[in-house]
Amino acid sequence: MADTTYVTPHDGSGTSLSFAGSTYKCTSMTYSKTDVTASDRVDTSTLDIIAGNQTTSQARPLKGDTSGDTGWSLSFDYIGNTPIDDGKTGALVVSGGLTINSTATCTDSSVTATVNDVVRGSATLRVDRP
Amino acid sequence: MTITDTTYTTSTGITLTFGGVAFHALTSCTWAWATGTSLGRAIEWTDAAGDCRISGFGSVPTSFWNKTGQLVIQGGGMDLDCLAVCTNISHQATLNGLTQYSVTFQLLQ
Repeated sequence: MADTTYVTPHDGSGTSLSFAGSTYKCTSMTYSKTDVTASDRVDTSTLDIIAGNQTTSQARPLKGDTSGDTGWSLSFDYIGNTPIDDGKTGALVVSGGLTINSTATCTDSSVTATVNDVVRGSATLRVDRP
Repeated sequence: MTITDTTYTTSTGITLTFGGVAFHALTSCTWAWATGTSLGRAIEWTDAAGDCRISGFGSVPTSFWNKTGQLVIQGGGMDLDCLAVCTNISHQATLNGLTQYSVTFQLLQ
């Protein structure tokens, strides 16, 4: 059986995250990129279309609201008892298993205290596009 | 175990004309024949007359209201050919979507 050598978050010096000057002990990260200008389409299929033919559609007349939304976001869980202030903006540096070097804004953060466990936090950052 | 495709009639290839005018871009079509009996009267209009309701993308002029004409539906197992009168026309705008019309016909016999 041959060993694989895919990237893991523990390679090299591990994966670190720094946001707005603070370092976070992360337990998971999800970095996503979405095209916020993409609009869903309206199904315009009609009864006169013959069986076996393609459905028809057209773009919706109004585009998605892109103000304040870059479509790029980083969600991460961390060990800590302080939520990140919503609206906090700063430099975002992730290195190791993921690489991000940009500015970001916190859109959501929470902390949870659970029996027999450390206090854990989670946050979502809106990442600026270059 | 083999799975056999069914071949029931599908609601496709349906066209409708009223008074010789084609109604395009239909998205729904239902019709119901008259209920009850004519009570022995040879009349075209009864309180129990059936109706046909259609909807489609676009708009329909209100000039069709109260017009009588031959209603012909073909295809999709919806075949119908009878005299009808247009009794209702409505339109609906959909936010970030398409405008649709709805028309009701009473089926005369």
